[in-house]
Amino acid sequence: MLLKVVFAGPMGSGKSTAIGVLSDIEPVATEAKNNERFKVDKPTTTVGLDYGEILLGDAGKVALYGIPGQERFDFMWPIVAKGAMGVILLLDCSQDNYIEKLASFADTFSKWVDPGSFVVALNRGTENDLEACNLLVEKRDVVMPVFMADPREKDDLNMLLHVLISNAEIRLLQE
Amino acid sequence: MNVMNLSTPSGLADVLGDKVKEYDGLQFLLVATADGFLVADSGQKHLNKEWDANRIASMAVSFCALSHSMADECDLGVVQGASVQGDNGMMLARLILSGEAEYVLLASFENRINNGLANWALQKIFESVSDCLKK
Repeated sequence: MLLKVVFAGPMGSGKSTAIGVLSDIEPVATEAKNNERFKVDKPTTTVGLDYGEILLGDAGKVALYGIPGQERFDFMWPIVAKGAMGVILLLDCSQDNYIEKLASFADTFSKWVDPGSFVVALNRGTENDLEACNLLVEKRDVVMPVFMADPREKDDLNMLLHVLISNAEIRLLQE
Repeated sequence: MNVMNLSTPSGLADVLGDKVKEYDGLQFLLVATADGFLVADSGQKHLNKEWDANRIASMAVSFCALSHSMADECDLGVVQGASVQGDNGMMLARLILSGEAEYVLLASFENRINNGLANWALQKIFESVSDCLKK
């Protein structure tokens, strides 16, 4: 069994970090010097994709893909999203207009992945952020669970994956 | 959409323009920062279709980065560049290290230009562009 999961979200939301934390193999990264430190203060940024794997022994593996979050790399998004069973949408609530980013990434990736296969993870958020995101998601009439999660914490990330896979199983049973 | 206002190194646009004129079959040249911003380009008017140099710059950077990761994965050693070949021509990309900055140089050649000529031209252009970026 091979499950493909995509980590989406804007630059600096923690996609590469999450894949690095979860992966059982040395992640494949395509990092370059970040010239937009006035936007997100980190030395490097993903310009192609990130890739990692969770090895499940005889049961197969979960392939973890990360996109470059900047819109100028949007040509990579459908390439990476193709065949994904789900999307984990990471957002850093300390970034400006993260709510708009939630809407735009959800809209964009819904073109390629069933919107019922999304999980939203809020980093550095408050209860108010959680509520605001839940309100936005409720208007979309799809099951898109929203959680607080730290992309550096393996337990948080495993919880997101479990929710994603459980939702997929429920949808399969309903079909 | 690229919104960052990168300063173009002095004379780079002229160097690219001169090289497009100098080498037969060279369709266009562009230089991008390693994180996907267009720095300068020249020659796109030779193409039939409309193009967005900003978008090609970002694609060139992704392409180069993926090529480097793939080469690393396959233990190919230090990678100088990568190439794409199509029915209508060929594109060659090179990574340029200039001090602390990294750039990607992309050159597109018509299909009548063979690999050897294209690589020779790219090496010459690479040297000129590297010198310009060091100034």
